[in-house]
Amino acid sequence: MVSTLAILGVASAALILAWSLLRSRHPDIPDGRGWEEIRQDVDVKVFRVLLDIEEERFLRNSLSNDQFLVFQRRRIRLALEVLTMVEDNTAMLMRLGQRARMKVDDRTLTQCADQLIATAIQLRFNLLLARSCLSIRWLFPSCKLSVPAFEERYQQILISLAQIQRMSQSPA
Amino acid sequence: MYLSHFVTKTLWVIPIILLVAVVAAMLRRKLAGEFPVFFSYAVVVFTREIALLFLKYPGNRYALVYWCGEALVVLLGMGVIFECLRHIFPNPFLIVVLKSVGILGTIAALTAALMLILTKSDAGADRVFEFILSAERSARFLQACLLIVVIALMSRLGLTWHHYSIGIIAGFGVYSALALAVLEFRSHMKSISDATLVLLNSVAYNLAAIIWASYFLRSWRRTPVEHLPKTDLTEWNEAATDYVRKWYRR
Repeated sequence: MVSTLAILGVASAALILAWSLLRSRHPDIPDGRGWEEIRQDVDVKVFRVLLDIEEERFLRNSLSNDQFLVFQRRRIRLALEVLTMVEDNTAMLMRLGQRARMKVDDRTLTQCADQLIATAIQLRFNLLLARSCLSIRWLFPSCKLSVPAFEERYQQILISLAQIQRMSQSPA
Repeated sequence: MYLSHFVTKTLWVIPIILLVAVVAAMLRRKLAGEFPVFFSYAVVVFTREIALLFLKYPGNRYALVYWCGEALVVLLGMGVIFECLRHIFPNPFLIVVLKSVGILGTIAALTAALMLILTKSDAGADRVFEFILSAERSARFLQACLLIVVIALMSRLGLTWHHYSIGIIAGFGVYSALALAVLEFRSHMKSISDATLVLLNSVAYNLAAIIWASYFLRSWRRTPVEHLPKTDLTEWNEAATDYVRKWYRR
């Protein structure tokens, strides 16, 4: 009976995931200019402030324990929202990279687009780790955990994007 | 009786027609070289079905062609998953993904092998048929597990752009999930008859063929990105780097 339930569970999961894959729809970016309109405006400074140790220390010293927990959780929730925005931007950059890959006659552009996608995937992995850490911190706001360095990956993505941008703008 | 025969034949013919169309579309769009395993899979499936048309049923030759073809189709079905991974993930990242999927696939394969060993036939039942059902169930279980890992990974990483690989994976996902459930209902729970098993399996395969056809027959042509956006990313980069360094120092 247990094996039957497990097998039916696996079958249901595969079916749901396959269906979600078919149903997934993302706004298409008409061209590079469309990115400006669609992208989430993410300010790293906000994220930095939200997870700043000094800020955290200040709050801990200024507030009662209960108040600190409430504030800290609110800050972490906001940080998680910022992560979602960065994830959206990364997904859009990946789609942009995929579109750039279609220019098969331009090998350099294709390679840069590949690099962009690869870095974006690595970033998404790191974002998953960061999200997990932040979720743990939300559960235990007093616990001290360092967030994985996902932003370095984001920087690499942006550098790749800038490379593609330069190549597409330079005369052939 | 006539309706049942008509439905069975229709469900048998539709995927063959769709797979021929998929093969033709792949040749026309020069995709056979890009997806050699899926192309071979489609060719093997429809060649086998056409060969079976001319063989006497029941007969040794019919059984030989059917079961050898089935084994080949299952193997190619597994190979297609890895082929799609190669298309979805760019090279620098592919090895890591293949390793992860390989490890999880091995675990699923061991579970499937255990299922095969531990499944006992009822006394008096056709042992060969029960063994075949069990083997197919194990193969579908392995395929479904691999697809769950791949699709979940793709969804979490935001890799859901429209691509032939997505269609191939989704098609196999739907088919293996439905076939696994149907096989479980038949071989373990004994709640459906052999005729219903064949019918539902055909329905599942038809769904997969429709998904593949809808991806390969549709035109996915889009204008490549010509103008990439101007951004204020440099400032953002600097701030991000500072932040990361701070976290490392901590």
